[in-house]
Amino acid sequence: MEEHLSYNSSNPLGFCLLPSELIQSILLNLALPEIVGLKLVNKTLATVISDQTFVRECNTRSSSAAWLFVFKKRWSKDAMLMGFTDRSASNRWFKISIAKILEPVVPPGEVFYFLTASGNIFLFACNRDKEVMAVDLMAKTVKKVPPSPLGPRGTSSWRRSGMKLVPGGPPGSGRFRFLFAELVEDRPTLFVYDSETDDWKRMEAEETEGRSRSRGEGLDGRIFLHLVNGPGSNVIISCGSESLSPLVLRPGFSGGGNQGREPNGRLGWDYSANLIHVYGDGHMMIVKSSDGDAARKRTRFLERIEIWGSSEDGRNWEFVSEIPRSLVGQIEKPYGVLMGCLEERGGIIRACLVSNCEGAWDMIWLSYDKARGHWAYVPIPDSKMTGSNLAGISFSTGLNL
Amino acid sequence: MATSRKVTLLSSDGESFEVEQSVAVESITIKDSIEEGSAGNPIPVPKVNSKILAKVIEYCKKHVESAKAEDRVDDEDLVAWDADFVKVDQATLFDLIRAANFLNIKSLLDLTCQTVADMIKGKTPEEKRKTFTIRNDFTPEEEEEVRRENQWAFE
Repeated sequence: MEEHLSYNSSNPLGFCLLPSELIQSILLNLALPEIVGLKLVNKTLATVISDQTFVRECNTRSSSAAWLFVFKKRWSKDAMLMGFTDRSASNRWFKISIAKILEPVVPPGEVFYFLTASGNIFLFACNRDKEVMAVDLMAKTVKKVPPSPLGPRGTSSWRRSGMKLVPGGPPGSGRFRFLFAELVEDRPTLFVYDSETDDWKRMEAEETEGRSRSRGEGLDGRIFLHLVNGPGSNVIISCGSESLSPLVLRPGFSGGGNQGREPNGRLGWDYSANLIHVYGDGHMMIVKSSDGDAARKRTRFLERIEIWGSSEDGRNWEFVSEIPRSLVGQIEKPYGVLMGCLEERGGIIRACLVSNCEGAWDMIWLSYDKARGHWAYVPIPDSKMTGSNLAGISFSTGLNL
Repeated sequence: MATSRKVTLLSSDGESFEVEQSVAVESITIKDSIEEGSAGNPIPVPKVNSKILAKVIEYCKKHVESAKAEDRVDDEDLVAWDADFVKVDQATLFDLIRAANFLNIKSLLDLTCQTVADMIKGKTPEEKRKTFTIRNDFTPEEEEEVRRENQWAFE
């Protein structure tokens, strides 16, 4: 028989009696929102979690973590930011409360769209007033980003532009830079906002055609903003994270050794309407779906998925990898991909493919590790978004305490 | 097969356990003291009583055996065995964590910590208190303060 079964409240079971390093070892298995949630349990745990060394360790793990954030809305009230991480610790969606932070600053009836996030900073576009708000989750502040040199922009304009939010200082400092790309009089132009100086810089990107590359100028560590995305025409601005020097990349499928051959022809040369393209960070994911059989005509199924990346000189799309058939088989459910988002960070490409089947949203997270050549499928639990609108989706790093 | 060396471990409550050296050195603490030549005979294991030491030895035996097995034990089988191994009452689980930490057996420490983490996941603060029989020692004002400071994490 077991001893120690007396749940006498004056003799609490050992959890809080464990040495704090052991409590911390246990907590490090949890996702950050869960760890912070434990602060409410009792004072011992609140103290253990506030310990500086532990906080540093949490932050280190968090900044290399991958999170998917989704903003769901049912009418203009009832908007909810949700986050999911692929770390085995969780496997559920976490609700991120932003309403209280936004309320004081934003007029009632304003409609938001979630643009992008990085660390603790989350950017929202306000549809009515055509403003951009930067929410700092930890500082609980909202900063209005002044209009760019292009003037106030509505949500649909923002959704068209390639954009990126990057840290502008040490993690947790609240400093950030917001970059986006737009065609101004047909010329690819880079716009950069710096929260430190609270103003915008505007730089026309330099064409790479015929330009000789200086030694050591590769594409690593550069930021990519996808500007024009369409079959036969892709324009990307690539810039450095510190010294911008924006360049124009125009990758295409002309010539080169990448020619597909039927029937295993690469999807890159398939111009049929059955394809969805998802772009991000200098890469493109091509998704081919096929119709179900005659009885299930209205459902579609994933058939093939390929990843392509821009060549170093920005002239060609280069084939990176195709998802193994066995993995496609694992994602068995009917799946009509509508759209998605893609990021590349630390040599890992992550894509979220979103489908909506009769009002029910579904999301698939796929990862490809370039160095190991390894694909992974991360099942995402039901987001319980049926009947809601998806008002923005983006990958990001974890939060910083 | 060569005769494997055996060592004797002595629990804090005076019980002796004879084990293969290969099993005992799953504990880095024991391994170091044997290599340094500082291990007595029997090797005393303070802070770990016989009930827990028996469990720890059971764990180490299983893991050493499955690493050695000629027909490799299925990873899945070992994972299932581990899952059964940690189906113990909370007090035993915490004692195992302490023992794994003291004896420096990383895989056992990881396993037991993950098990406790799994008990925490997905619960409200009140449910967590109930699971571990923890008393809420915050005043309502203090609780409100914690919620406010970490607003984003609480609805």
